[in-house]
Amino acid sequence: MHYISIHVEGFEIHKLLSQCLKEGIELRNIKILSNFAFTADVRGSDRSLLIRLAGSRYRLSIKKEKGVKPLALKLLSKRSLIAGFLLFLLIIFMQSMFVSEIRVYGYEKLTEREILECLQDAGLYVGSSIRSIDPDQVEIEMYRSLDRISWIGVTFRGGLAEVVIAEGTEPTIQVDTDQPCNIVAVKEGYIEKTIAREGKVTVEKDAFVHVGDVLISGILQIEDKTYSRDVDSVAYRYVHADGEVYARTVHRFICYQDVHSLEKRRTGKSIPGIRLTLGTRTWNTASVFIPYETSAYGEKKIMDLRWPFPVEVAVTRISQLELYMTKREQDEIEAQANRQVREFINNNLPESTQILNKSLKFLPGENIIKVTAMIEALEQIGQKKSFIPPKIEEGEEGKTTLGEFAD
Amino acid sequence: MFAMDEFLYDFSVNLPRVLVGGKTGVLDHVKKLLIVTETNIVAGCGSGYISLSGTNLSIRHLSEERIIVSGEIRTIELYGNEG
Repeated sequence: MHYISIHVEGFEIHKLLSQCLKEGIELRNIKILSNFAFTADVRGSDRSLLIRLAGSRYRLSIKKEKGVKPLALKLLSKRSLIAGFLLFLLIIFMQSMFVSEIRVYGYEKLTEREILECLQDAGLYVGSSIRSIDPDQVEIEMYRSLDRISWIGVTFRGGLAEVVIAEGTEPTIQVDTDQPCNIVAVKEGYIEKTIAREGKVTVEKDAFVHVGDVLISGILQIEDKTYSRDVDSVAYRYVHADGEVYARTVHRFICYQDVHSLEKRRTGKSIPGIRLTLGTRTWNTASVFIPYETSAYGEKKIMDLRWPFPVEVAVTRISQLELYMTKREQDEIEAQANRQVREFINNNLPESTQILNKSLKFLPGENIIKVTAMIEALEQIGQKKSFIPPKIEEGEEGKTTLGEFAD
Repeated sequence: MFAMDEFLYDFSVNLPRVLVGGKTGVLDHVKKLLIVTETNIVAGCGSGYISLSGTNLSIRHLSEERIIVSGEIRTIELYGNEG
């Protein structure tokens, strides 16, 4: 709508208002300034009619114009503003054509850095053109480069690329259930518990087993000789052994720690500075001038824009430090050793493993402490391993399989 | 109110009609304005007059025989036949 603010002066202003009522001229926000003057808003289309009604009896002046039309005309008259606005639209459009951020979800064993590197090799990286990227092709490349992933999905939301990953488990050798097999040990250890669902247990509790030893055998000797012609013959039945074997396994882990710890103390002297990052380029006063031999760098971001341009501004401070060597306490060393052991367990032992016992041994050297950790764990060590049952030659005496009779 | 009164109220376009609530007053069937000041607005409605008195009075909207008045309205007066 187009409205005009008018200022009217003259005698008997109520007569003009009455005429406006009579002629159907809509007036808004009438403010009576005095007995001889008032201001009001009138529609742009009624402007000429109002001027005609006012005639020479009233002095009518236009103060300002309101509404969409005058605003548009006012904006269009400013070329620099239009140019800036068009440039702004162009920047927005250009921004939407490039990948500004990549978010990765669902990774567990893989690191985000590994995934991002593989994505970069597949053509998806920050700054790459969205139009040139085929998500299906990226997914195929990722399946090729990372064996662990069982599923990957790449979606774009504007300049944001979202990558969802599902990691698969370690591939296990599956044995056909129709095929006879044994359950063998994949780790050394002392047998704790055996649950045999099919097959014959060949190891006793507390027995030590090596890698490859048969724990549950799929070869069963037929005891019943009721229907056998030769009671002295030995007959076997070959089954698909099934079950779980838990064993106490021992893991040895060695790590090292410093005898001394380096303590940093601030002297109180510091120098302020500024860091400016534009895209991938960084300009930092701290990298130009550092007067201290030992110092600590600290910064506080005061501006962090990612859109439409990646700009970072931070206030920096370089503080002078003094270094002191202090001997570490035994409690601190033990706490760190425990942390290292926990990390080792997380990285090297399956999640289902139960830790039974843990012992730490510290061997202090001149500047270094050797920490030996012995971890006793209860874990499932059985794995199915198929075998081919021997063929029974016709006429061979003394050996048979189920359903055949030795002659 | 009887049916005839309702009928007259709804269709008598020459009777003064005023509705005041809070700081707003709505005057209908206004044919002409006789006095317009910050303290008093008098409107003619064909067969009568409406007078609103108060302080800081202003006409927020004026069109099609209706005016909307804003301000501290203290007194409403109705006068008889015009002339």
